[in-house]
Amino acid sequence: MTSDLYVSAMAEPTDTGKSCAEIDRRRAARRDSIPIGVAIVVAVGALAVTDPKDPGDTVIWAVPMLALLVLGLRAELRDLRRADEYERTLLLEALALGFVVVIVLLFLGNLFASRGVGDPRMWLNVSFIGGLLGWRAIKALKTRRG
Amino acid sequence: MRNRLRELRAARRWSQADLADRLGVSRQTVNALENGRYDPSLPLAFKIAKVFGEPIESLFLPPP
Repeated sequence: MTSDLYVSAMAEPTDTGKSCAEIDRRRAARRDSIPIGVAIVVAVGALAVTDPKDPGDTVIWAVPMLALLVLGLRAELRDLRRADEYERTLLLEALALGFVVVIVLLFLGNLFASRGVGDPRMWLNVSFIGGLLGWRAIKALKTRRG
Repeated sequence: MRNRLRELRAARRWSQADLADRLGVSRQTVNALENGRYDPSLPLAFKIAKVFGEPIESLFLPPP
């Protein structure tokens, strides 16, 4: 049986590179992020030039926002599909924990709103942003290079 | 579950990235496997056995 010292001496020096699967996945993720970047610019532009009180402008700001949502969802699903089994487990764990954050914040928000503390819409935004940030933070923590 | 991945990889002078390429997974996955943080699925275990040319039962060992 090979000794641990021998094994670590042999294994350490060349263990910093990326595999082809990783390089392909990162390249594909970068490709998927280009339309998202364009959609963000268009959505921000649409929000800036439209009047929120004018019902006629609703389509102009809503369509880019919807496109942004669909493109983001598409990118996440494609990333999940491209991931190998271990990475997929980590991504799904992060999604599940992010979902827990949303549920907890929604519960607290509803509780506070029912007692007249804060605006329900504000609590909805807090839940959404909190869940999103929680999910991204957990994902970053779990998938950091090990 | 314990495994002999690190030992067999080192004997072949492969880096983790080399093994990851042969298995079609990320280096992070190989690292997790070697450190016992992740137990592979049966299809991946068979693939690992094929890459090393060893039977599965000689690669993965029950916990002590």
